[in-house]
Amino acid sequence: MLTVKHLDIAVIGDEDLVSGLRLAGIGRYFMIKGNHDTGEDVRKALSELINEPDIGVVMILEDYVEYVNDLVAHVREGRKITPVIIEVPSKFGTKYKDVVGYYKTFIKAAIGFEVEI
Amino acid sequence: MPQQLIKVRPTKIELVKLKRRLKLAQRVQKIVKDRLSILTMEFLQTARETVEAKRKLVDAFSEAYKALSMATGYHGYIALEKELIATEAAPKVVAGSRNIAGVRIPSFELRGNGKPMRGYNLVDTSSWLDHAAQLAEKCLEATIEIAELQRSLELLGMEIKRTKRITNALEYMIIPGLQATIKYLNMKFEERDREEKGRLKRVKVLVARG
Repeated sequence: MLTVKHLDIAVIGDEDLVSGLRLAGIGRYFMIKGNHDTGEDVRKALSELINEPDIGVVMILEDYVEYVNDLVAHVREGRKITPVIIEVPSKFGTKYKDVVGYYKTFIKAAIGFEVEI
Repeated sequence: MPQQLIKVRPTKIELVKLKRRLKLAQRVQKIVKDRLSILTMEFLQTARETVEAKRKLVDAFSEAYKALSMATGYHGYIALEKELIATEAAPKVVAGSRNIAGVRIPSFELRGNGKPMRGYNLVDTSSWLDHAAQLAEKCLEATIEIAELQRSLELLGMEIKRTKRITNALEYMIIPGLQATIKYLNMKFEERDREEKGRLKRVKVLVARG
Protein backbone atom coordinates (compact mmCIF):
# COMPACT_ATOMS: atom_id res chain seq x y z
CA MET A 1 0.00 0.00 0.00
CA LEU A 2 1.27 3.40 -0.85
CA THR A 3 0.93 5.93 1.87
CA VAL A 4 2.16 9.45 1.46
CA LYS A 5 3.01 11.45 4.51
CA HIS A 6 4.00 15.05 4.95
CA LEU A 7 6.84 15.20 7.38
CA ASP A 8 8.97 17.88 8.98
CA ILE A 9 12.67 18.46 8.75
CA ALA A 10 14.57 19.12 11.96
CA VAL A 11 18.08 20.34 12.62
CA ILE A 12 20.48 19.83 15.49
CA GLY A 13 23.48 22.04 15.01
CA ASP A 14 25.66 24.91 16.03
CA GLU A 15 24.86 28.55 15.47
CA ASP A 16 26.02 28.70 11.88
CA LEU A 17 24.28 25.59 10.69
CA VAL A 18 21.05 26.54 12.35
CA SER A 19 21.03 30.10 11.02
CA GLY A 20 21.78 28.88 7.53
CA LEU A 21 18.98 26.38 7.53
CA ARG A 22 16.56 28.78 9.16
CA LEU A 23 17.19 30.99 6.16
CA ALA A 24 16.00 28.09 4.05
CA GLY A 25 12.84 28.07 6.11
CA ILE A 26 13.24 25.30 8.66
CA GLY A 27 11.22 25.81 11.80
CA ARG A 28 12.28 22.87 13.97
CA TYR A 29 15.77 23.40 15.23
CA PHE A 30 17.90 22.76 18.28
CA MET A 31 20.78 25.13 18.63
CA ILE A 32 23.55 23.68 20.74
CA LYS A 33 25.39 26.54 22.41
CA GLY A 34 28.67 26.59 24.22
CA ASN A 35 30.73 23.60 25.21
CA HIS A 36 29.65 23.05 28.79
CA ASP A 37 27.53 19.96 28.17
CA THR A 38 27.20 19.42 24.47
CA GLY A 39 26.75 15.67 24.70
CA GLU A 40 23.87 15.96 27.12
CA ASP A 41 22.09 18.61 25.03
CA VAL A 42 22.49 16.70 21.80
CA ARG A 43 21.23 13.50 23.38
CA LYS A 44 18.16 15.22 24.77
CA ALA A 45 17.36 16.90 21.44
CA LEU A 46 17.81 13.76 19.38
CA SER A 47 15.85 11.49 21.65
CA GLU A 48 13.02 13.97 21.58
CA LEU A 49 13.08 14.08 17.78
CA ILE A 50 13.25 10.37 17.08
CA ASN A 51 10.22 9.70 19.21
CA GLU A 52 8.07 12.05 17.21
CA PRO A 53 6.15 10.45 14.36
CA ASP A 54 6.01 13.53 12.12
CA ILE A 55 9.73 14.07 11.79
CA GLY A 56 11.02 12.84 8.45
CA VAL A 57 14.63 13.91 8.32
CA VAL A 58 16.94 14.91 11.16
CA MET A 59 19.99 16.84 10.11
CA ILE A 60 22.71 16.62 12.71
CA LEU A 61 26.16 18.14 12.72
CA GLU A 62 28.86 15.56 12.10
CA ASP A 63 30.76 16.53 15.23
CA TYR A 64 27.78 15.74 17.43
CA VAL A 65 27.23 12.19 16.21
CA GLU A 66 29.95 10.80 18.49
CA TYR A 67 27.85 11.72 21.53
CA VAL A 68 24.82 9.81 20.35
CA ASN A 69 26.25 6.87 18.43
CA ASP A 70 23.96 4.38 20.15
CA LEU A 71 20.79 6.32 19.35
CA VAL A 72 21.83 6.75 15.73
CA ALA A 73 22.62 3.06 15.39
CA HIS A 74 19.30 2.20 16.97
CA VAL A 75 17.39 4.32 14.48
CA ARG A 76 19.37 2.95 11.55
CA GLU A 77 18.72 -0.64 12.47
CA GLY A 78 15.00 -0.03 12.89
CA ARG A 79 12.57 -1.28 10.30
CA LYS A 80 10.72 1.99 9.99
CA ILE A 81 11.55 4.24 7.10
CA THR A 82 11.55 7.49 9.00
CA PRO A 83 13.18 9.28 10.70
CA VAL A 84 16.35 9.39 8.67
CA ILE A 85 19.39 10.82 10.40
CA ILE A 86 21.73 12.67 8.08
CA GLU A 87 25.14 13.91 9.11
CA VAL A 88 25.99 17.28 7.64
CA PRO A 89 29.41 18.92 7.59
CA SER A 90 30.29 21.81 9.88
CA LYS A 91 31.67 25.13 8.76
CA PHE A 92 35.19 23.74 9.02
CA GLY A 93 34.47 21.16 6.34
CA THR A 94 33.69 17.51 6.60
CA LYS A 95 35.35 15.01 8.89
CA TYR A 96 35.01 12.28 6.30
CA LYS A 97 37.31 13.44 3.57
CA ASP A 98 37.17 10.06 1.93
CA VAL A 99 33.54 9.68 0.92
CA VAL A 100 34.05 6.38 -0.87
CA GLY A 101 35.86 4.91 2.12
CA TYR A 102 33.03 5.91 4.41
CA TYR A 103 30.53 3.93 2.39
CA LYS A 104 32.92 1.08 1.64
CA THR A 105 32.85 -0.05 5.25
CA PHE A 106 29.09 -0.01 4.97
CA ILE A 107 29.09 -2.14 1.84
CA LYS A 108 31.52 -4.58 3.39
CA ALA A 109 29.27 -5.02 6.39
CA ALA A 110 26.28 -5.77 4.20
CA ILE A 111 27.55 -8.02 1.44
CA GLY A 112 30.67 -9.37 3.02
CA PHE A 113 33.32 -8.29 0.55
CA GLU A 114 34.68 -5.06 -0.80
CA VAL A 115 33.42 -3.68 -4.06
CA GLU A 116 34.84 -0.92 -6.18
CA ILE A 117 32.37 1.86 -6.61
CA MET B 1 30.43 -32.95 9.33
CA PRO B 2 27.82 -35.70 9.30
CA GLN B 3 24.45 -34.36 8.34
CA GLN B 4 21.75 -34.19 10.93
CA LEU B 5 19.05 -36.69 10.11
CA ILE B 6 15.48 -35.59 10.51
CA LYS B 7 13.66 -37.91 12.88
CA VAL B 8 10.81 -39.57 11.00
CA ARG B 9 9.13 -42.93 11.12
CA PRO B 10 10.59 -45.15 8.37
CA THR B 11 7.49 -45.49 6.21
CA LYS B 12 6.90 -44.91 2.54
CA ILE B 13 4.50 -42.09 3.29
CA GLU B 14 7.23 -40.22 5.17
CA LEU B 15 9.61 -40.78 2.27
CA VAL B 16 7.17 -39.23 -0.16
CA LYS B 17 6.63 -36.31 2.19
CA LEU B 18 10.37 -35.77 2.53
CA LYS B 19 10.84 -35.84 -1.22
CA ARG B 20 8.18 -33.19 -1.57
CA ARG B 21 9.85 -31.07 1.07
CA LEU B 22 13.19 -31.39 -0.69
CA LYS B 23 11.69 -30.25 -3.97
CA LEU B 24 10.06 -27.29 -2.28
CA ALA B 25 13.28 -26.35 -0.48
CA GLN B 26 15.19 -26.44 -3.74
CA ARG B 27 12.65 -24.22 -5.43
CA VAL B 28 12.70 -21.77 -2.54
CA GLN B 29 16.48 -21.73 -2.65
CA LYS B 30 16.45 -20.78 -6.30
CA ILE B 31 13.98 -17.96 -5.73
CA VAL B 32 15.81 -16.62 -2.69
CA LYS B 33 19.10 -16.69 -4.58
CA ASP B 34 17.59 -14.68 -7.41
CA ARG B 35 16.22 -12.22 -4.89
CA LEU B 36 19.62 -11.88 -3.27
CA SER B 37 21.27 -11.06 -6.57
CA ILE B 38 18.60 -8.45 -7.36
CA LEU B 39 19.04 -6.89 -3.94
CA THR B 40 22.80 -6.83 -4.29
CA MET B 41 22.65 -5.13 -7.67
CA GLU B 42 20.21 -2.57 -6.35
CA PHE B 43 22.40 -2.05 -3.30
CA LEU B 44 25.50 -1.35 -5.34
CA GLN B 45 23.62 1.03 -7.61
CA THR B 46 22.30 2.89 -4.59
CA ALA B 47 25.76 2.96 -3.05
CA ARG B 48 27.17 4.62 -6.14
CA GLU B 49 24.42 7.21 -6.16
CA THR B 50 24.85 7.82 -2.45
CA VAL B 51 28.53 8.58 -2.87
CA GLU B 52 27.68 11.10 -5.57
CA ALA B 53 24.99 12.66 -3.42
CA LYS B 54 27.31 12.88 -0.42
CA ARG B 55 29.89 14.74 -2.50
CA LYS B 56 27.18 17.11 -3.66
CA LEU B 57 26.03 17.63 -0.11
CA VAL B 58 29.50 18.50 1.13
CA ASP B 59 30.00 20.94 -1.74
CA ALA B 60 26.62 22.56 -1.22
CA PHE B 61 27.31 23.07 2.46
CA SER B 62 30.75 24.55 1.97
CA GLU B 63 29.30 27.05 -0.52
CA ALA B 64 26.45 27.89 1.80
CA TYR B 65 28.72 28.41 4.80
CA LYS B 66 30.83 30.82 2.78
CA ALA B 67 27.81 32.81 1.70
CA LEU B 68 26.39 32.78 5.20
CA SER B 69 29.59 34.05 6.73
CA MET B 70 29.57 36.92 4.23
CA ALA B 71 26.00 37.72 5.16
CA THR B 72 26.67 37.57 8.88
CA GLY B 73 29.77 39.65 8.44
CA TYR B 74 27.81 42.27 6.59
CA HIS B 75 24.80 42.44 8.90
CA GLY B 76 26.08 41.21 12.23
CA TYR B 77 24.68 38.38 14.29
CA ILE B 78 22.03 40.39 16.09
CA ALA B 79 20.50 41.92 12.99
CA LEU B 80 20.55 38.53 11.30
CA GLU B 81 18.78 36.94 14.23
CA LYS B 82 16.09 39.58 13.96
CA GLU B 83 15.51 38.76 10.31
CA LEU B 84 15.56 35.03 10.92
CA ILE B 85 12.56 35.16 13.21
CA ALA B 86 10.30 35.76 10.24
CA THR B 87 11.77 33.28 7.78
CA GLU B 88 10.00 30.16 8.89
CA ALA B 89 8.37 28.60 5.83
CA ALA B 90 8.00 25.05 7.13
CA PRO B 91 9.26 23.07 4.17
CA LYS B 92 7.84 19.56 4.27
CA VAL B 93 9.17 16.23 3.12
CA VAL B 94 6.63 14.25 1.20
CA ALA B 95 7.49 10.68 2.05
CA GLY B 96 6.26 7.75 0.03
CA SER B 97 7.75 4.35 -0.44
CA ARG B 98 8.81 2.14 -3.30
CA ASN B 99 9.09 -1.60 -3.34
CA ILE B 100 12.22 -3.33 -4.56
CA ALA B 101 12.16 -7.13 -4.36
CA GLY B 102 10.00 -7.00 -1.29
CA VAL B 103 11.88 -4.24 0.53
CA ARG B 104 10.10 -1.00 1.20
CA ILE B 105 12.45 1.85 0.55
CA PRO B 106 11.64 5.51 0.92
CA SER B 107 11.14 8.08 -1.74
CA PHE B 108 11.28 11.66 -0.53
CA GLU B 109 10.34 14.88 -2.13
CA LEU B 110 10.77 18.39 -0.82
CA ARG B 111 7.79 20.72 -0.83
CA GLY B 112 7.45 24.35 0.06
CA ASN B 113 11.00 25.24 -0.79
CA GLY B 114 12.36 28.12 -2.83
CA LYS B 115 9.61 30.64 -2.41
CA PRO B 116 10.38 34.01 -3.96
CA MET B 117 9.52 35.84 -0.74
CA ARG B 118 11.49 34.52 2.18
CA GLY B 119 9.82 36.49 4.91
CA TYR B 120 12.62 38.75 6.00
CA ASN B 121 12.63 42.46 5.54
CA LEU B 122 13.85 43.38 2.08
CA VAL B 123 14.67 46.95 3.03
CA ASP B 124 17.08 46.11 5.84
CA THR B 125 18.86 43.25 4.15
CA SER B 126 21.29 42.90 1.32
CA SER B 127 21.78 40.59 -1.59
CA TRP B 128 24.33 38.70 0.50
CA LEU B 129 21.49 37.38 2.57
CA ASP B 130 19.47 36.47 -0.52
CA HIS B 131 22.45 34.61 -1.87
CA ALA B 132 22.97 32.77 1.40
CA ALA B 133 19.32 31.81 1.57
CA GLN B 134 19.40 30.48 -1.97
CA LEU B 135 22.42 28.32 -1.22
CA ALA B 136 20.88 27.14 2.02
CA GLU B 137 17.85 25.94 0.09
CA LYS B 138 20.18 24.04 -2.21
CA CYS B 139 21.66 22.39 0.89
CA LEU B 140 18.21 21.36 1.96
CA GLU B 141 17.54 19.78 -1.42
CA ALA B 142 20.83 17.91 -1.31
CA THR B 143 20.06 16.69 2.18
CA ILE B 144 16.68 15.31 1.19
CA GLU B 145 18.26 13.57 -1.76
CA ILE B 146 20.89 11.91 0.35
CA ALA B 147 18.33 11.07 3.02
CA GLU B 148 16.38 9.00 0.53
CA LEU B 149 19.46 7.26 -0.82
CA GLN B 150 21.13 6.61 2.49
CA ARG B 151 18.03 5.16 4.10
CA SER B 152 17.53 2.93 1.04
CA LEU B 153 21.09 1.79 1.39
CA GLU B 154 20.60 0.95 5.06
CA LEU B 155 17.34 -0.91 4.49
CA LEU B 156 18.73 -2.83 1.52
CA GLY B 157 21.82 -3.73 3.50
CA MET B 158 19.75 -5.16 6.33
CA GLU B 159 17.58 -7.10 3.91
CA ILE B 160 20.64 -8.53 2.17
CA LYS B 161 21.97 -9.77 5.49
CA ARG B 162 18.66 -11.47 6.27
CA THR B 163 18.35 -13.03 2.82
CA LYS B 164 21.89 -14.29 3.06
CA ARG B 165 21.10 -16.05 6.29
CA ILE B 166 18.15 -17.76 4.63
CA THR B 167 20.16 -18.94 1.62
CA ASN B 168 22.93 -20.20 3.85
CA ALA B 169 20.50 -22.08 6.05
CA LEU B 170 18.89 -23.67 3.00
CA GLU B 171 22.14 -24.50 1.31
CA TYR B 172 24.11 -25.85 4.24
CA MET B 173 21.51 -27.13 6.68
CA ILE B 174 18.05 -27.84 5.33
CA ILE B 175 18.69 -29.32 1.89
CA PRO B 176 21.60 -31.59 2.92
CA GLY B 177 19.59 -32.73 5.93
CA LEU B 178 16.65 -33.69 3.76
CA GLN B 179 18.88 -35.44 1.25
CA ALA B 180 20.63 -37.42 3.96
CA THR B 181 17.33 -38.46 5.50
CA ILE B 182 15.96 -39.58 2.15
CA LYS B 183 19.09 -41.61 1.51
CA TYR B 184 18.85 -43.16 4.96
CA LEU B 185 15.22 -44.12 4.43
CA ASN B 186 15.96 -45.67 1.04
CA MET B 187 18.74 -47.73 2.56
CA LYS B 188 16.43 -48.84 5.32
CA PHE B 189 13.81 -50.01 2.83
CA GLU B 190 16.38 -51.95 0.83
CA GLU B 191 17.59 -53.59 4.00
CA ARG B 192 14.06 -54.56 4.84
CA ASP B 193 13.58 -56.02 1.34
CA ARG B 194 16.66 -58.15 1.73
CA GLU B 195 15.53 -59.42 5.10
CA GLU B 196 12.17 -60.24 3.62
CA LYS B 197 13.79 -62.20 0.79
CA GLY B 198 15.89 -64.22 3.21
CA ARG B 199 12.85 -64.99 5.31
CA LEU B 200 10.87 -66.11 2.26
CA LYS B 201 13.64 -68.49 1.24
CA ARG B 202 13.68 -70.10 4.66
CA VAL B 203 9.92 -70.45 4.67
CA LYS B 204 10.09 -72.06 1.23
CA VAL B 205 12.61 -74.62 2.48
CA LEU B 206 10.46 -75.33 5.54
CA VAL B 207 7.35 -75.79 3.42
CA ALA B 208 9.16 -78.09 0.95
CA ARG B 209 10.50 -80.22 3.81
CA GLY B 210 7.17 -80.42 5.59
